[in-house]
Amino acid sequence: MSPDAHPLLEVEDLCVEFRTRRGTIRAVNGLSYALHEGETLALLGESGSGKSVAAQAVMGLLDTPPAHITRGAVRLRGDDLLAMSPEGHRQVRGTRLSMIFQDALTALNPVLSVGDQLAEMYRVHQGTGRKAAFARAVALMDRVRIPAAARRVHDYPHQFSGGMRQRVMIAMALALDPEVVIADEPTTALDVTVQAQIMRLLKQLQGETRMGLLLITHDLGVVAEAADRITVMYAGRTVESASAEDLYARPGHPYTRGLLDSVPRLDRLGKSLVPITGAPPLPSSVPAGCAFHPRCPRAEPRCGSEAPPFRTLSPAGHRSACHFAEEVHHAPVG
Amino acid sequence: MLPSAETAPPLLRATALTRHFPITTGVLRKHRTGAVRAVDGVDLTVHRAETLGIVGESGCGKSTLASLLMALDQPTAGTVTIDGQDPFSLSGRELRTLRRRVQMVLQDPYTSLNPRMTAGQIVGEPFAIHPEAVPKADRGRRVAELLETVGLDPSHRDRYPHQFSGGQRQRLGIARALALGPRLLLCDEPVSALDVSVQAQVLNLLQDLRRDLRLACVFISHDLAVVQHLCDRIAVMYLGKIVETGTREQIYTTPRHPYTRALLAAAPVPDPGRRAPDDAHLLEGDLPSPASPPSGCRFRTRCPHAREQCLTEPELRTRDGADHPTACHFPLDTTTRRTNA
Amino acid sequence: MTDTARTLEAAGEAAEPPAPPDTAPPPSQERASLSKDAWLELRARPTVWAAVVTLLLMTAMALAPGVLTSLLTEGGDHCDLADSKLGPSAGHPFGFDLQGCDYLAQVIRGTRPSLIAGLAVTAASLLIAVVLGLLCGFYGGWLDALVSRVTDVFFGLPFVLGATVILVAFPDHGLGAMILVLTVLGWTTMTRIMRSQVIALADADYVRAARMLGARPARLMVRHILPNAITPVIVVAMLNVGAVISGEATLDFLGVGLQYPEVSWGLQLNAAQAFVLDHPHLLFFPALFLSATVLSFILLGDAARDAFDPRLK
Repeated sequence: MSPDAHPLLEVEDLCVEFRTRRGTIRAVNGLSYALHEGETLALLGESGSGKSVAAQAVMGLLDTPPAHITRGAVRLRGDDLLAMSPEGHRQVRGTRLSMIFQDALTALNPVLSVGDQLAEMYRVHQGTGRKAAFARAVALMDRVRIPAAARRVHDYPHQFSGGMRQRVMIAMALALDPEVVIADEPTTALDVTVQAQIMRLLKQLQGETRMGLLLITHDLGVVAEAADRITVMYAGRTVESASAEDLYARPGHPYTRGLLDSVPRLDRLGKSLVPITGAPPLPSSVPAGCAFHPRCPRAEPRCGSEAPPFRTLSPAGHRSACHFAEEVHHAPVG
Repeated sequence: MLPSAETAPPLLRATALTRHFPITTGVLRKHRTGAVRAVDGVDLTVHRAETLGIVGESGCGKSTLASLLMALDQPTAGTVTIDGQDPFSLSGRELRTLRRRVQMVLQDPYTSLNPRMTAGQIVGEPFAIHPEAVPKADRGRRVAELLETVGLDPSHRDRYPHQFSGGQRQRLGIARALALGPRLLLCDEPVSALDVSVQAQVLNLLQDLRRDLRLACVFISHDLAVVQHLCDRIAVMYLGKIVETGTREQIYTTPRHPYTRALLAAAPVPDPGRRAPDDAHLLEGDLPSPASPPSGCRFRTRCPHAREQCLTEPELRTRDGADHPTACHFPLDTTTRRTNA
Repeated sequence: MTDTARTLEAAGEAAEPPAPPDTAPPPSQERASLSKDAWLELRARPTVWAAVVTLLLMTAMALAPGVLTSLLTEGGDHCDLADSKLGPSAGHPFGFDLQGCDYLAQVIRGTRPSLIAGLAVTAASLLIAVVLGLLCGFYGGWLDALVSRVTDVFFGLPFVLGATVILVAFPDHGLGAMILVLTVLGWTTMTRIMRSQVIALADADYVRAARMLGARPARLMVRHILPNAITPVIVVAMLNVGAVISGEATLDFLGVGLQYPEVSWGLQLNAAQAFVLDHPHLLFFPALFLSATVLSFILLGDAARDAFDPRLK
């Protein structure tokens, strides 16, 4: 990988806390990643891993209080977003940075037609006239392959099917040609056949615009088919980061390896599963040391006290936060 | 599957099972203007100690089918036979007795347990409902055994559901379903609400229970990979009908219905080396409304091979008993196997 | 291809190790339950404490008026017309009423009918609401349709005006009759809430699971639906106590409620109206007690609603 002077989006040592009456919860605890132009980076994690909170922090969508960004930097082509004023951050959002949400039905305004909502993006941000904005809305709907766009532009969100609604969401995210699109579980609410359509669409659009795509998901299958590089999160921390091929072929963290061994797969009919024991910790009670140690088959006493550093394993940039990363990395995959 | 299972009468049989939900309009005098054909002529059988998977996307009617098979809902037409008995013609008392033999594991462990009952009360409730099943003195011991069977610590019996993790809660749901010693367990998406790293625990538990207790299972899911893992036979459902039934190998390696092949092509596989292989088989468009299904074959609007005949002639009904029944006028050639890694 | 066949075979034959248990202790710092969270929320509010203390005081006065009277005044219930309408003085902190009786003693005695009316009407309404709400919400059908229409009709009747009309028609009534009338006019709100709760819960997964087990309707209603449906109804009931107390006082004040020689805050306000300018203490003290009681119930109900409503978090 050629190190650019400025990656498109760079997140460094991000920490986010929620301060509530019942105590302080550290939802994101030192997350770092870099996203390059035309690249798809997957942020892989289960519920409570902090992946969505991290995305909202980047977007500037967290409410303070209760959320506080206590450390770290978020740079979009070198511009520090966290240092910006809320107004500056708002300007960046939508124009240079946009987001696709999981549930399009709640993310779209139910009382405005889809065309109104798309046209508004142009009217507010670019001062386009009403007619021209509507024409661009239709063009945009064409671009995300919504059939009969000229007719459907006047329909309301509830008149669209789940898959078509998600296309509208994508259209909205792409309206102002952002440099980075964050997709937070974009297909989790959809059926398999529709999910495949949406993932294919995102890939095609990315080819057209060279946008950087940050794909946030828990689905190992979706990640494998879409991502160039993968960052794995567990309990608010980055535990592994590698190219997609490398991560699946030679995982360097017991958690990643455990995930790969525990999902049933269509290409391995009848193969027995090796589950990870226990359950992911709640963000309010993350174990000391390595957060994964109570569930780890390889854990030794020091894992409970010493947090493993995030180390580089190979020249290709495979990194892992495990005391035994090399052994895990070199063990045969079974 | 054991050879004897083939000849013995099936544990569960559904014949031409149909459930239409009427659509009514009018405020004062309601009149029917149509019907949502949620389940529309389903035939299936489950033999003793066999696991049948039912796969389909949301809106295909698989949850309605589950309610019908469990006699929680009355069919519009068709019959269900459980262990030779028709649950819809039984008296209340007889139906309650029948319920001891068929039980269900629900999808969402966060909503399927009463938040105001302890783990012990939840797992012990079947005995309170069927006092004849276990003498009162033995119930505490039975509850502890059940908790242990599903891998929970019996000393946690006094805790409330919210004090357990998602996986543990689903184990509680399974223990409750097992309490009365059922012969058939219906699982409706039992792992889809769980974290990825926890799903395998529950799948393996179900696999063990099925083997150790010689349980027959009906396993309903949208996830082909999960169904593949547990099931001997698989039925694929589309818009209220079963479009293909076959053994696991038949369905996954030589699918005959274009919809089955499309489902397999769309399911993501966690292997970056196999990226986007079956683009040609991906479906276009969305599921039609079950209130107004397409004429002829229901799949024709999305089928890449639809011809004139599909427009007018309804698809065939898959009869059970045939080797690999397919509801398609032009089934895919079974000699070309699906490329597999 | 042969690979797949082989793995299939292997899976079929090899005796797999049993699935490992999940006996990890349940998460100790759990997603706190709604009721526990609500308690933490309530405990942190000073207004809640103030309301609780006020209501405890009122309850003590209603239960044992004599004890408090003798503690706080000189002479207790002794009346002397010579003292009529005298203002507060040492030993008689509230002054005297028209008959020259100690006003503090009289106001304390007025607590009982107010509290009894508030609590009895609410308890009776709650009972009706729970029974009707459970039956209608659970069974639906013609019973539900019938009860819903009846509820709508009663819901349309104005509370105070309706009570006035009925009470005027039956002049010789005591507290019992008033409770009856106020209940007849006041059961609808809680019933509607209970019914909608039950309808929502009748489809809950755990109710479905119990149905699957063969549970009878009574068990479904009592064990599964009632405990989970009752919370919002209890909240409304708390607010309702305050409303009934002020309603009862209003009727007394209008002269259609309790009659002299009964003692109640409403009657005291009625008697005071002619002398407000010259003897403001006659109005002030019963009004203060009435407002404090009503306000306390409303504060408690509001606080409970906020605490139990997850949407406001």
